Amino acid sequence: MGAHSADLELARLCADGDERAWERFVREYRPLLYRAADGLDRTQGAREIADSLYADLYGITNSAGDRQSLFRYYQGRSSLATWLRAVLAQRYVDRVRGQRRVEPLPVEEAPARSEEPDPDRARYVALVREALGRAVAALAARDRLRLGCYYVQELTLAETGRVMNESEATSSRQLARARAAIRRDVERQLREDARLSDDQIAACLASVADDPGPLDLKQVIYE
Amino acid sequence: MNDVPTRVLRETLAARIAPAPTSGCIDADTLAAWSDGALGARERAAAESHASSCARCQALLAAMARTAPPAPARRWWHAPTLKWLAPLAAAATAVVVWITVPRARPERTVPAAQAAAQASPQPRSAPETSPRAAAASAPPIADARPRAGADEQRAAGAKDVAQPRPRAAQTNAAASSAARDAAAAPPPPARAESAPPAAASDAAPGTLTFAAPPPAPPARRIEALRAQVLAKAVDVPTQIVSPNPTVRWRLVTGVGVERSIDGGMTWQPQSTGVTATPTAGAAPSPTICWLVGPGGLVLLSIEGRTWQRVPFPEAIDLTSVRASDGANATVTAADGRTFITSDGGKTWR
Repeated sequence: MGAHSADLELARLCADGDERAWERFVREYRPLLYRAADGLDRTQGAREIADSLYADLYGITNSAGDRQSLFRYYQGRSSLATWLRAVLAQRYVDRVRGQRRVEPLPVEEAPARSEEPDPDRARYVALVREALGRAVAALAARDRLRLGCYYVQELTLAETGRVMNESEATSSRQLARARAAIRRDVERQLREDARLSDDQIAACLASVADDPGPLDLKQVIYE
Repeated sequence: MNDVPTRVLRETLAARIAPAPTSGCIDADTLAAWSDGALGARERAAAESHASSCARCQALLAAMARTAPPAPARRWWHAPTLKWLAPLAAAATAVVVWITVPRARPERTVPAAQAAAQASPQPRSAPETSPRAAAASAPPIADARPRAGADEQRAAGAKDVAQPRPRAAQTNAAASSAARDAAAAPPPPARAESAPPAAASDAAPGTLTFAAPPPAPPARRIEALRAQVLAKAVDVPTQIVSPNPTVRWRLVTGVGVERSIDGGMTWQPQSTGVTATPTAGAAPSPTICWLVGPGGLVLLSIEGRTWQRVPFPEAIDLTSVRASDGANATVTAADGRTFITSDGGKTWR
């Protein structure tokens, strides 16, 4: 707490309506907020969120004469700069999710298949997907989070490492380890539970590689 | 055995994430404390456990990571490339010195006094002036250029591991460094340079003699060596490594674009629909890759396998590209101008 006492004091003064503190806050933190907004949306689409954040930070006075400012929620567990980035990120994510909720789903076209359907193909795809689901579920939560950051959120290795509080090289190694573990688990399940041979397992993985599947399940999931 | 396809893994991971916020969602205060490393072990583990299965919280963490200020630039003397540059330059210097100096070395030595007595009218000035004169003329190059080369290397390496320049530049820098080092080194004795072979062989016993004809001027030999090194460097295909190092592309002159999904062990040719070979590229994700080349050539793949040509406003040679995703890219032309798109190449500014 003591590490951020200066930030806490600045937040308290701003929340109390101290004009000089507010001017200092705007002068020091506006560039930071804009940089963070541009990191979220390079077309500067997030800057309006940053601007609206100022209004909530400045606060309004209610009928009882109490000033309501967003600064009241700053507890000093992090630096003020990090807290502002977190509030901005939260508002941005909620806005994006809200917008996606009202957008119509794209019309999916059935994939064109020129070849005759392989009778084993559907069974193979289903087997791999089931095995994969169980293998991912069996991972530690930290491994699942790392995989989610990298593959679903499409963060870079450096960004993934930042989230996981580890180096980029460690993230890379851990991702490779998790993928290897998943592959081993899938193969084991196919061999032991589904009683498939090595050739059939290879065919299974090849089938699922060719299968278009629910192409953008992520988008559907986020609806 | 085949690996589990990334797309299927991504779908499986996404399918395990709860789409709607739940009661344990991370608030801004916790998110900020997470980012600053201020969460206790137990609280952190609980937050990680929740985020591993919550779409909103994963998106929050991702957004937070993207808002992070850039890491402070590393000092040039801490650049990883320099760790390689020093021994590389030393090795190249040793090779050049080994090639040039031994042939000019006298077969046998003579006492210094005797050599001085037999030497031309400048014998005393030669040992004094030659090394120092060379050194005195060298500093502007020897001091400034290696640093500039190292900076170029560091900048290129920091921007994108896939750019074609770094490897050539590294070899180039090593060769240049070797050439400069050799130029700064003391030249062979004055007689080696000035006396014709006949005069040397006719010299009386006990004087300086040479086993071989005097070598070509060092500058020309070094230039030839540098050209050989560069020629080999140019033959190396440019590789574009995605954030997932197992997925990468390479640009092979006369062949085209090839892709590897096993870290470069095997390569599959890809059809780009154009005859020109791109010269540089950037892959911001394992499925997205931008390529640029001569005549305003810009190619984009958004799923890693097929390519579409992106219209470009000018038929100018493009030398490099930086991209953050399939929509945002910055292309640098041969004349140094940069062109930016934020809509996948539909418009450039």
